[in-house]
Amino acid sequence: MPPTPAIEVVNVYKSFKAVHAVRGVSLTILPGQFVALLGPNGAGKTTLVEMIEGIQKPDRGEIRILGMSWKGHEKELRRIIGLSLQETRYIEKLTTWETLRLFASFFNLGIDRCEEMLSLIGLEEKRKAYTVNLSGGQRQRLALGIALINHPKVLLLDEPTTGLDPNARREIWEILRNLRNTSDTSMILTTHYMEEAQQLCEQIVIIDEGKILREGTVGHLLSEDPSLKNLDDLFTSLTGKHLHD
Amino acid sequence: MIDRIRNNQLWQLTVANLLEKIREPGVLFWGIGFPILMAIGLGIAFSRKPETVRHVALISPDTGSFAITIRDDKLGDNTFLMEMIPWDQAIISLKRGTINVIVTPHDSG
Repeated sequence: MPPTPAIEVVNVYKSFKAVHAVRGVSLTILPGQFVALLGPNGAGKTTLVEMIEGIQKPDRGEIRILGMSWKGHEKELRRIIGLSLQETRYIEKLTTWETLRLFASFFNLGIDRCEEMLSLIGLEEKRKAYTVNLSGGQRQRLALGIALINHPKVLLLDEPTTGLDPNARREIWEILRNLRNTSDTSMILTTHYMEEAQQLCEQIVIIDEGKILREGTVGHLLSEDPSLKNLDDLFTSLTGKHLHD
Repeated sequence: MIDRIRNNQLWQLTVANLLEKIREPGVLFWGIGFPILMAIGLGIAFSRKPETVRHVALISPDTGSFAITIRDDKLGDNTFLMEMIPWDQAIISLKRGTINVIVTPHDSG
């Protein structure tokens, strides 16, 4: 019997007045699988992820996480998902430690888990620093720590490295690679960095104008046309746009 | 038991809110210090009872003056400075505004 998919998106539509953000997307993600949603700004990545997160309701279609839909299983789902939005705002005058402690309390977790997370995200030295004084990379690492604090079965990261310098980006990648190697967490990562998708995810989903254009492993996607050197080339050949547009 | 309280989300939210306020000098001043200062300042400003002085011309062939003070906790003190002057002079003072009112003796006849 095949395992229950971690995430199952079936023929989902979502519009905002005249804007059709997501148009008939279907997607299946298996337990432990890391998937990158790759597309330019306005492609519908964030809307799709927000529907999976339960922040938005689809107009049509169905979304199931570990076999459960948001309707009727909200409490259970909140316990098993971890998420990091495009921008995270903290209480400015709380320290890194106090912020982790606050979020741990939402899951009845104590200081042991906070210590683990602080070490995982490499912010031990910033334990007593106010969040307002953290750099962009440190803030994103803290956001990742908060997303992971409840041992999530499903992790949803919306452009976690946008606006970060290459060093800070690599630090985030390292944390996520560790997670992939040591847990059975499934992850959806939205990004418009091709390198990030390649580094972290075995499965790539290319999305534009609310539709999935292609999905598969990097090797599989590039083998379709020998002239393609990378995902950027593939994306340009599919849409006529660049990923960073 | 203490750990259970500390891990409780309501406790942590309360602590977070309290810390946020304590650590922000602006919030401390405008939220706590300023209203107290305003209350003290306004309290002092309005704690004095008003004192009203009225100049009264008392029509009399005699001359001289005296004062009558009526004390009232709510309305404050009212002092009437009574000056005994003849009618003609009283009319002139009233026109000049140096007296507020003219009191004439009651003619019982």
